[in-house]
Amino acid sequence: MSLHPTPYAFDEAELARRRSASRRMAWLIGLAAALIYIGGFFLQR
Amino acid sequence: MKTTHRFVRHRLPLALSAFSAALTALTLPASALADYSWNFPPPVTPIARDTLNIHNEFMLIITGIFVVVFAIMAYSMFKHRKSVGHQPAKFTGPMGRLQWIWALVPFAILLFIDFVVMGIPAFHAVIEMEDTKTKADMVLKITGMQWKWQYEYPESGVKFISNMSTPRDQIANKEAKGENYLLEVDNEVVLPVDKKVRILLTSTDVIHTWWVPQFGVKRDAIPGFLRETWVRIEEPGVYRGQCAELCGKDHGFMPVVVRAVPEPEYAAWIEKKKAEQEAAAAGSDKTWSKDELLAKGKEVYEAQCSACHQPDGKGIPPAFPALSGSKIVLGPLLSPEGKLIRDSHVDRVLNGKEGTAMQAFKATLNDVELAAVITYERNALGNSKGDLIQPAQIKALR
Amino acid sequence: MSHATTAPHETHHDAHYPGGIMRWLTTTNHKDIGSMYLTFALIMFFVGGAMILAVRAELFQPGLQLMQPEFFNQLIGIHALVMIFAALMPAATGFANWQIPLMIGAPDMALPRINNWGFWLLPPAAILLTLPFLLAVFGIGDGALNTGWTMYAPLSVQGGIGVDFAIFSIHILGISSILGSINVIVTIFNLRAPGMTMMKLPIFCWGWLITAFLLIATIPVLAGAVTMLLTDRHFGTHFFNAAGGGDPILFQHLFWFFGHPEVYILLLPVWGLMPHVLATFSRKPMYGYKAQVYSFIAIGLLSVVVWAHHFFTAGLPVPALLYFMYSTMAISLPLAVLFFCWIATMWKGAMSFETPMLFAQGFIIMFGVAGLTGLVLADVAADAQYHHSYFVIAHFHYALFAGGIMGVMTGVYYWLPKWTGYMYDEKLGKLHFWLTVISFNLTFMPQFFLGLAGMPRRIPDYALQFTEFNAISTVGAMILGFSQLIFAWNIWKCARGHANGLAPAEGRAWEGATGLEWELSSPPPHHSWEVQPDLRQPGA
Repeated sequence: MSLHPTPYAFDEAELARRRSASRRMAWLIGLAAALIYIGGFFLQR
Repeated sequence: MKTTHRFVRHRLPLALSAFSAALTALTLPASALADYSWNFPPPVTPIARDTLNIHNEFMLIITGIFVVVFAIMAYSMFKHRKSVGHQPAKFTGPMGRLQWIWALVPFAILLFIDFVVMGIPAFHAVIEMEDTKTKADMVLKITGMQWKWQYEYPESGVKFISNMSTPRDQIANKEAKGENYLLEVDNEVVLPVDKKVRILLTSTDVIHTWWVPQFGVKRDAIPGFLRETWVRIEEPGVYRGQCAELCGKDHGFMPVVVRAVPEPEYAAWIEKKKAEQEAAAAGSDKTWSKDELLAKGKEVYEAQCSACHQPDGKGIPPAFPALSGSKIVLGPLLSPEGKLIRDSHVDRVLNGKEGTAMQAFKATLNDVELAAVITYERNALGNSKGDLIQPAQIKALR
Repeated sequence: MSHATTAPHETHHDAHYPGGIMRWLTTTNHKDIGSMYLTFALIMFFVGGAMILAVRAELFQPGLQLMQPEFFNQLIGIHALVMIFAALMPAATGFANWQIPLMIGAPDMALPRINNWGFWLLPPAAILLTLPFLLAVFGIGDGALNTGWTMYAPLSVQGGIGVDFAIFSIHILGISSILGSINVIVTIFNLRAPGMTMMKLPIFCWGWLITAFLLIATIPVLAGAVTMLLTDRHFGTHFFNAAGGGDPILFQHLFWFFGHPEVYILLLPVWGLMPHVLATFSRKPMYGYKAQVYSFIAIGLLSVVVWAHHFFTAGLPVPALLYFMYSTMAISLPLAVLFFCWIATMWKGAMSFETPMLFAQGFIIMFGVAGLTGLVLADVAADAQYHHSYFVIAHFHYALFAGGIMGVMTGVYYWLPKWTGYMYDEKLGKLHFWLTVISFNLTFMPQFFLGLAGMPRRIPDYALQFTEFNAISTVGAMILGFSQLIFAWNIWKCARGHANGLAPAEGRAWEGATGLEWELSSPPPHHSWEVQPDLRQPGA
């Protein structure tokens, strides 16, 4: 594993792209959590 | 960095011996008491014996695993140290067939221990423990309620409540504590030895758990449902346990005391209880004087009501309201036609209040006890309403 | 470090920060938020500790000396909720905030504003949880949640306003945990440095990733259970009332569907950081990285299918008893893989015993006690004796104090030089370790014997045969509690390292440390990785 930082970086556009991907994913996970919560009320014994 | 290694070389053994000294100190006062318990109390049922054997075997196994694993770790800690000049190896996983075998053998052993050495006896124990339906000689029904147990023998109709009998003054450190502090009751439950007793459990309010360690039995009493378990007591004696599921304020003061006796003695006890119960039932038809009711009522109040409403009737508001000066207690007794008034004093005592610790006492107290305690609450505890209710009136309301 | 490749305005970012309290209220910097989480956790650790010291003082002798049973019942439940939700979980989230961006080569967490929210939900939740104590002093209500942290219906349906406060507090704590988890997941998935594949991810991040998924899956279930409790209490529903067609045991199923994974939620971050510490102080690469990652995943999956072993005495049908017994036993296998890898990481290394290493090794041994007693607890028949007794209390404190909290202490000592830029006081650290480990065993070893002898948990007063062990346990607890002041003092001293004349820490604070976080200065620059490290093989 090479640990020497090189001049390569996520450029501004790449970082923005990754952040918006993160936001989309966050909404998705949040939705899944909400679905589990709401689904629980329809549990039948 | 140098100081670090000096510490380990010189002070680690020191610290370890201090630790073992602490552990020894821990055992000293206990060994002074010859009968001090390091394990389960002596088992008196087949289940408890099974459980103890399984427990002993498992403890041996896990102690063995613990010693072997951490002996290896301790060896490494002493041998593979920087301060003794050990050169670090570079491996990150098993290399070669031999090392793979070494890595996999412990898991094969663990798998065997889990599902064979432990798993098989556990399987048989579970099957035996849950075998409540076959060959039962008798049934005992136990109802948990805040904070006492009711026992019922369906075959003979005997039914009574068992309350803790340890005086409150002992708990408050105002007098010396007795031998069976907190583990003594007014009415012991009596069972015959060498009989398979099927136990049915339920509750009137919250979840309680009936537990007698020497029986190896612990089962929840759940409101609205029946749960079952069984015991076959092998030796006569008195066995003590207590409620094991947090059930509110007096959870710690809800003991179980079982007296196991030979069959004839049990039969005699049942007959005696039956006669007592019939005498009490007869009392509801006679007319009681106010003094008789007040005397009886004081007795009932102290056993059933004072834990929450307090001996002086002041309660612990807001959870447990005061009875002294209470609007409900000082309200009208019955309607002019002798009917129950909703949310009146009599209604509360008979039917309880849903969602609170106030239970429906008509299920557990007889007519005399109900009439007496209602009369007492209206004319004592700082109240002086002046009226009284007769057991016959209660009987008419049922 | 060069700023050349990032936008120039970012370099002036420090100056844009408001001063004073507003800086902390509005910060979106992962390191600031991590520090706030850790500080909050430390404060609540002392709050929860004070509660249980009061309880232990009451239990020193038989009889009621200091408090009435009502208050006792409030203390034990709030102690548990505070320690779990307000001390251990925030501490782990603090680690995640500080370390994940440093370890994966990211400039910050992916969603910095959500991160700020996640933290600032905690203080109000903690206040809601404990406020009823104060209200009761002023004659409002009858105190805090008095049902134990498990809040079993119908006892919790019966309770006072403390239950409602706890329900709202749990909702807020849950939202905070979910926000934190979302952030961890998306950061790990999207902001890894080029060339860092998932199988090169530092194992601490793997541990946290599994924790985050478990939180997402189980927190909504807990929230649902307590919402049902709320509607049962106030809006006439009968989810948990047999009279209305409900079932009190349903609550236990829902609660423990959350509650069992919760144990691993608390422990996975710790299991994740252990290999780093062991490898560093053994000066040897960690053993069995892949095996550990797969074990984390296996434990995560198993943890959601074993819940009913928490109520074996509730009268489950026999097939259910057997299933939950054997599935619980199965957890011992992936757990054994972890123990094997930890010991193999030390094996043939060149060990030195600085405070983090001592804590790590103490953790391994005492967590071993928890794991092995857990194995016997899985046995339904023997569990009938252990259940609801002090045996269980001892078991889960070996798991959550020796496992969870000592694991957090391992991490704090290990990373403190990185966070503060100063080496902490090693002598104080060692003193803290030895006092903790000795008094911890003095507190909880006797509780195993109390449980075997038949002492139920959650009782404010006990029969005379339990006296000696309770007295020993209380003495141990007092030493344990007050020893933690050394910990707080050591952290404070290190945080103000310059004023206290401590030695500055190098970037690579520990001789044997490897990983991206040690490539940065101590403390790291304001925007952690402004230039991404490139882990791709040259020419690939």
